[in-house]
Amino acid sequence: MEIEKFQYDNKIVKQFAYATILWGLVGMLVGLWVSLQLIYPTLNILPQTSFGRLRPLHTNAVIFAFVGNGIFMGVYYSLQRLCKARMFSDKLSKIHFWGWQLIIVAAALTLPFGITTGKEYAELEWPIDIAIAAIWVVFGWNMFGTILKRRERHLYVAIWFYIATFVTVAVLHIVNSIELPVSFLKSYPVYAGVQDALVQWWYGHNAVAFFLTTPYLGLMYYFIPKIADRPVYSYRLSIIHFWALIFLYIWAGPHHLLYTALPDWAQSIGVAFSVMLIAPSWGGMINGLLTLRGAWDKVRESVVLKFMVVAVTAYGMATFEGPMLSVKKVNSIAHFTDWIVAHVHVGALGWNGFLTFGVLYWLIPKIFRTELWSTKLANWHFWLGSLGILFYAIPMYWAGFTQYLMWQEFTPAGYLKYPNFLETVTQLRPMYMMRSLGGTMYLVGFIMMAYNLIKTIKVGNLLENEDAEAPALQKVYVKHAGDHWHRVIERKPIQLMLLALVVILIGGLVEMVPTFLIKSNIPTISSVKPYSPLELQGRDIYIREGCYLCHSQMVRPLRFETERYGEYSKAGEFVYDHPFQWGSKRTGPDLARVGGKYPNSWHYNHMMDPTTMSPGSIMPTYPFLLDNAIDTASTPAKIRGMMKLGVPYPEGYDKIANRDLMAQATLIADNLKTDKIETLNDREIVALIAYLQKLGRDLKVYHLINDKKPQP
Amino acid sequence: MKKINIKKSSPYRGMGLKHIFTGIALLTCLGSFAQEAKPVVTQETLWLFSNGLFNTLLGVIVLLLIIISVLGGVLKNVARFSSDRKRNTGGTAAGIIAFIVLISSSQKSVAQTTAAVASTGSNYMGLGAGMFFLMIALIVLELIIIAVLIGMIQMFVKKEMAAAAYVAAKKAEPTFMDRISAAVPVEKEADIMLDHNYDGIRELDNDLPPWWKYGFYVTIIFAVVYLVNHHITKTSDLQIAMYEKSMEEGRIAKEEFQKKDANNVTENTVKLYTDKTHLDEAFSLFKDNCAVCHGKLGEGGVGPNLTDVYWIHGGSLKDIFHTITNGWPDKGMKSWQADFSPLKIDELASYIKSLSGTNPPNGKAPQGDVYKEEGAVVSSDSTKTDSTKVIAPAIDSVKVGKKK
Repeated sequence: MEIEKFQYDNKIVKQFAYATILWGLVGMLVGLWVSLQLIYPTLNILPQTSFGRLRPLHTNAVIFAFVGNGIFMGVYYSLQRLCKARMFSDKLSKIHFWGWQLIIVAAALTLPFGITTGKEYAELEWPIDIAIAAIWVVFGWNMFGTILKRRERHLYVAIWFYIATFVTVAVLHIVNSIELPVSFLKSYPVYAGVQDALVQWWYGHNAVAFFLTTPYLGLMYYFIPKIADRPVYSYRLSIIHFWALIFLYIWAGPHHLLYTALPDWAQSIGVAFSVMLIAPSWGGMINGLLTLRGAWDKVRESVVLKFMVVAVTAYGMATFEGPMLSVKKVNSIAHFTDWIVAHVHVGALGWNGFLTFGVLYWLIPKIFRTELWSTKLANWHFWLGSLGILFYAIPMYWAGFTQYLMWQEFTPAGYLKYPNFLETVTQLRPMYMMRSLGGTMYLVGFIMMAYNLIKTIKVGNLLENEDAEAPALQKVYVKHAGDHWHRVIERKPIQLMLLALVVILIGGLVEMVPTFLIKSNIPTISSVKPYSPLELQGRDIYIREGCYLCHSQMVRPLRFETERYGEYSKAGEFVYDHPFQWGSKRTGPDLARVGGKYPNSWHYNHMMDPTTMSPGSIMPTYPFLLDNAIDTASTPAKIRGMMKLGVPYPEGYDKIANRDLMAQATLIADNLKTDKIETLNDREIVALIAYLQKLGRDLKVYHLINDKKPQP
Repeated sequence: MKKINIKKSSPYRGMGLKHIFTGIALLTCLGSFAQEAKPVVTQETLWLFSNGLFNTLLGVIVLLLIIISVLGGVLKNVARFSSDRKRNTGGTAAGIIAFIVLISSSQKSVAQTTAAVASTGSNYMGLGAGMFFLMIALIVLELIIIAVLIGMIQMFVKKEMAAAAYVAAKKAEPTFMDRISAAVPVEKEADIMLDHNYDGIRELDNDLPPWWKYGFYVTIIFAVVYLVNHHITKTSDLQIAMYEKSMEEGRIAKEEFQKKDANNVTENTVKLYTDKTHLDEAFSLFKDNCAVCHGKLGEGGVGPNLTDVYWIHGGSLKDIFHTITNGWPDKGMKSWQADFSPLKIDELASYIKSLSGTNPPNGKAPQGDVYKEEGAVVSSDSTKTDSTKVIAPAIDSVKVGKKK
């Protein structure tokens, strides 16, 4: 057997590590900023820095920039060593790295300018979506190239997770991003309403699963046994929890849509599969923690392992909480409240953050051939970060409960105890302050780490190409007795990928195909009409400003909701909604029935300065909507786009759409004049008012027409 | 040692205090022995020192006392060591202290009785019988104390050794976590080490933890039962059925409340007052509370005009009563039910009705729909079908409501 000499590429690992630190800092700073905006609305300052535009920047930066680069850092380090091979192509590595950073920069340059698709965690517009798909393929190509030229016969469990991540994220991203461009930076998703909601949360939920979970489980499987120098606890557990996890996760998306207009059967599937997810998720935690058996003395000494233990524990907590939140009763309490914010941050700060920190603290000194500059500082980071998580999560849990309790309380006489939504918001201010404090602590810890690592790097000296050697892989594999049956698939990466692909496709197909094909899932409502051109423009402003991040458009069939907002939402109401705007959080009240609730002048004043109409409101001001002119030049293309997506405008309507738009705008401007408000009829505020007044109107029309009919 | 403990972390701090307490208690005991011994020495006059037997006995007593104090010290250390290692044996330490205190007090009483005996009796080798017996008793007592102390030290040492043996044994035995996970102990893991080696990472072939495996089965059963229940046997309600039930319950509860509240005015029992007494009462409330927004004469201001025939939320007495009681907080009208009793609200509503058609100067432009006393259909759930503000017609111009 000939021993081959080769070199590991550490330079690319270093680059991804630097990017992780840089984008982590940016993402967390923006996060802290938006959290402060909820306490001090004056911090919204510019249109480009208002909450609705910055929050997607925060989530995208943290998920795709910080965690994304963290994944690539860990994968590029561990994959080479687990395959006993250098990365397939240095050039692809380079393209992958710079391509990904460019995508992040593009996101940072578009989101603050309101260029967004309005779908959570998939906000980036179509040219960037295409770039993401291309770079993702580069990553996969590079990864598979490396796997195929490996010198290790079998694929280690970490690589199974990397492969599942690669295929599933590709499927999720492509399916959810199928959109029709109407201009260079504007598109509409092909799905509408309930279908769009199902696809979006199939994507959203599995972005958590396959971007924040499976790749990090892969990293855990490499770094924990490596650093603790302990064997992995159970190979059999790895097999079962891997396949069960990727199979079951995909089905659970509808638990984000409980009590909505999504068909009942899809909701029930979401509940059932979420509950079944506990064990497969915990399989990862158990295998991680039990691998540390006999090494707990090391955990006490090593700050790296401490970070990892807390990370795995946070993972266990979040993945237990998730299924609990999917039980309908619990969901009716937690949904739309800050409980969910607490839940995701236990996952993000605890699991992803701490695991990344652990890897960085171990990996940087290692590739720079030195010791960590200050273990003491790292320990400080550990404690400050842990406290930060507690200070973040506990007030948010509290806030979530408070919100729910206030929303649902009735007086003995049978009226809502807190009919004014604002009361339930101002109540949360102290909790929001505590949350910002927790976030600050976590961020300070992060900055300490950055400083510590910079110092380490200055002392050290990067080993760009690390010498390694391994025997070449023999052409023929001689099976030996007692081999587990699963070993077969571990020798065949392509088959493993295809099998994973099949496994992850099942759940999505079972949920989507009937929702798309069977008409009874979305009963139509005769009075629901397409948006008028002005309303459509207003809707795009609504999306641009990220209103959906604080306002839902989904009245759930719960007594306290219908008493507050009006009739619960029906699937048929959303058939022309490309994209759907149900939202996932109510920092402000639901808007599904806001049409006709207030006069136009109320909206005008409210947009100019919300506190004039609702003293104490924490909503940002939108004075620029009063000055900006509607982009009427885009109307024909938008109408044409909608027609292509099946919205029944009359033939040739795109050519006369602007005429209707101006007519409707004039009507609103005239109406405002009666309330002594002078505005030009082509201002954005007029379009937004038109859209807001349309919300819920079609259903009212339906009742006006149908309820008056004599009963047969 | 104490200092280090206190510095390290808080759980040790309590132990530190405990040690100090133990020390003080032991010193007190020893002090009490010394006090017992002292009077014996000073009570007798100096001539005693020439007596050989006395000197011998005294020597023995002192020697035994020294032994006792040494043993006391040893015991103290052993006890502390033991409680240090097992942090929550504070109970044992406290027991020992109590025991020693008990002994020292019983010693006192013994000393007293022997002292009483000492005054009577004959001579032993030139020594008074009382003094002789006292000294002998003291020696016996000291011997007993020594025996007890040795016994206790032995007990501690045994315990220590047992604990050490336990720790040694434990290493070979499965831990609690191992046991419930059906894991092979760390020491024996070579037996289940697979031949996998990935960059130095090995894999064990431990079984699936039974609690995990059966937990998984339970969730699968739950999932099946859940789906069957909701969609096949339909024994559990889906969300709309649940919603309708809760609305019905809400309606019944509301009715019950209104029934019980028979003396109270409700929307259904509200009546129109036209007499001066009630209306004057209402006027004073109106000018203090309502005029700010609706004008002194009800002509309107921030709030709508109350004197015309246009009403946003209905103009019947019942509607007005409802509006004042519950408010329309979204539109700036607060709920007044916490401020005024239902009767007062009834009076206010009556007063507002009386303003109708007064046509005061500077009346605000009409808002809402025309309300006619008779025959007008007032929607019972005006919250839901407030159709007055529909602004722009949709493409196919569905006409809704009526803009004045």
